Amino acid sequence: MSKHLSVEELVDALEGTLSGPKVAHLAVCTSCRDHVESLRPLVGDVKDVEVPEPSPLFWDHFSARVREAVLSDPMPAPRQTWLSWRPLLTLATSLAALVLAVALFRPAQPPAVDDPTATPAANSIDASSQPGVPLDDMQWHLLIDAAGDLDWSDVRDVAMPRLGTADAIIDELTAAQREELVRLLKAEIGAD
Amino acid sequence: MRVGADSAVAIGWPRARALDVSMTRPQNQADAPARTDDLNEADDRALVSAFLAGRPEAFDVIVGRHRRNVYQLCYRFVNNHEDASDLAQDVFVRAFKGLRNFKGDAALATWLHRIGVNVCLNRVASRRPDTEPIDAAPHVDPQAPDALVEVLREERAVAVRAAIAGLPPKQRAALMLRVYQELSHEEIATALGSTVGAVKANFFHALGNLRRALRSS
Repeated sequence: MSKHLSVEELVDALEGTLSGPKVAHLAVCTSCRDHVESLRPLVGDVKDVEVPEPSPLFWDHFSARVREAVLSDPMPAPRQTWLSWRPLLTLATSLAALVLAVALFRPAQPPAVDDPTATPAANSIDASSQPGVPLDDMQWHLLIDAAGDLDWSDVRDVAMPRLGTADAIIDELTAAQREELVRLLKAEIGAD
Repeated sequence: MRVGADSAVAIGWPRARALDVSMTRPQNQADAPARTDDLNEADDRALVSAFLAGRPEAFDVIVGRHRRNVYQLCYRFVNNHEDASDLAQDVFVRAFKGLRNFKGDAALATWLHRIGVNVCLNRVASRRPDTEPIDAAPHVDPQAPDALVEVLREERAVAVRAAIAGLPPKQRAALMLRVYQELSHEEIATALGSTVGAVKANFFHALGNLRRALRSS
């Protein structure tokens, strides 16, 4: 006699889906057959247990409850991945490089004679706030280099940002960086 | 598998909510029904497409179509109406939130069963299931024909419910999905995130444990 049926094969036999040589085994093995037959009425017992049917009014009430629960429970925002931050990160990095370049390579101004406490850095900021001061070649090269790292998809994403993206970038700039950004933008559009 | 034929009246969805849903719109919406009247006739896949295309009323139809099955599944886990309706509501709220992630690899009913089983198993894990009190069995008129048979049948049903409630959660889930929801072993494996072999083993051991429990009772 071949090996007895496994648990999976006993389930298959119970459900009438046993196939192959195991069918022949079941036909001659009293032990396996008794096992299967002892489980059969249990399935019937389980099937006989019914769920009480709720009132017909319950179903409409239930649908309304679901709708109400869904409306009161805010929809989760789409999950942000690091990839979705990549264009923003690239833009922020480029902006930071631009601001740094402008700050570092601006021609140094001597301290004002009438203000001995003024530092060269403070004077540099003061000088940079003057409109119409052209960028020198080094600054343009840095700007071109920074922009050269952007690929088209990044530029496109930045050019069509999600609502609040520009605000978020501006919020992250320091006061000096914002002032510099305003000056550069004004210089670019020729405004006073 | 039996799918409830109830339909739902699609009302009450504010415009803002429709916009929330439309933000989840996938690329291909070609199979979404064009008109509201068509929703009740649409298959589940088309309803999902309509929902993702920004028509939240399609979700009403999904709820109406599957609410009875989901409720019955939950009832069999908790054995009382109040908890079953709360759990069923939770299932649909989760489905609403997760529908954008529904890939359509399995039937919507199987996907809902999966959510239902997870919700119910979480509930069972946090609280022992209520067993049916003796006086919860329906009243049987002693003068009615076959009253004795009916009493015995009800007593047996109470004992079986109690025995099912005492099964380990995965065995109970496999038994319920197979016997009541009539899912195939493959569908149950998908719903439970398991394998066909494990599902069959759980089903087999559930029956064995039931037999022992009913003998002792």
